[in-house]
Amino acid sequence: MKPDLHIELGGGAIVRPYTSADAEALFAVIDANRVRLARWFHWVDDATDASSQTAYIESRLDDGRSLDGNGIWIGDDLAGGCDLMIAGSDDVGELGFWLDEAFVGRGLVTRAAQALMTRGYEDEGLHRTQLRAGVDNLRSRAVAKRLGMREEGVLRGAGKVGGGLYVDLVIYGQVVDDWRKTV
Amino acid sequence: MNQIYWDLGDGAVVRTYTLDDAQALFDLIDANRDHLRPWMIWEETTKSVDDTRTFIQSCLDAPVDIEGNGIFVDGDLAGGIGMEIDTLSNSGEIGYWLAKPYEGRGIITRACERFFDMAFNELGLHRMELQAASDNARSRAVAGRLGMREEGVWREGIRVSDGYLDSVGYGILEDEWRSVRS
Repeated sequence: MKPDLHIELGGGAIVRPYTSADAEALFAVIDANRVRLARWFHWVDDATDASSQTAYIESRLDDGRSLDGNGIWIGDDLAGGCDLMIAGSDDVGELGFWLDEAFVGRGLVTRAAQALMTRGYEDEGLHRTQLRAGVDNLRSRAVAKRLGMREEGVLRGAGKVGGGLYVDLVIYGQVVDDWRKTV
Repeated sequence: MNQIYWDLGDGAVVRTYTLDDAQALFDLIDANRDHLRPWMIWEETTKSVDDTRTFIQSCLDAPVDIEGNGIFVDGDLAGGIGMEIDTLSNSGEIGYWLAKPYEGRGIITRACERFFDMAFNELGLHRMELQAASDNARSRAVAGRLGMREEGVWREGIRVSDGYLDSVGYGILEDEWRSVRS
């Protein structure tokens, strides 16, 4: 059963799961940011129209304990997405996020990720969270540092991005004991 | 779902489990509990043949992953092996275990070679991964024999009965596997 989620981030920003009614808005923001996002994400190529996003949103409704399929909203505006995927039996959550260009630089992703990590550790019993970011994705890597995650290695060719290309990913990790020291 | 039947030589075979293997799988795990418990969280959750039957059925039902394969030696179940496939990154992750009496014969390495051949030649994957607990020297030696490269240590990334273990991540890319094999 998917946990309920609706978190205030301050400054009028919230994180909440998409509903089917958000498919048009989600597609419009991805489409407007296509070139930027395709540098890091293969799924941009699959976002062909609003119905592709309806299918994505519906696929997230039945995804176990994962805190995913979430938008970051400012009022009625969709500013980006932030997810914490929980799979397997290791009590590990994997962060993922993206942002509309107009909302970059306000700390939205850091706050959204912090909120999801807190939920993951406190309510879902996670022992560890991790993030994989493109080696050249300096903004994403800066978020990992702000979140207090530690760099643990480089996964060669592990990231499939737009156009069928592959990039190296830096892996960042945090264990729950380290997180407790930061809060 | 790919059905596997590979003859590895010296009486060793890898093949997809059927539900008829549930009893043999439970018996082998039950006879190797002390051997498996330090590394495999499923040792403690495998309490009866119902659990191994459920596991096999879930593998048979999985649309993408190729888990749920037995390693047999002279007809007897000796261990298990499988791979998860991440379609988003076009990569696979191999996982395996072997009962104590069958260690030291290179069986796991040979079985992994066949999986890597399938991954890169038939499935068109770009990368294969392996995670081994940092203290699991035998498992890490397999990664070395396969020509995988160590890429980092993921702190406390593996859950076991006693807590959490550091996980060493290994990876190999398609072109690297081709030069290993040539």
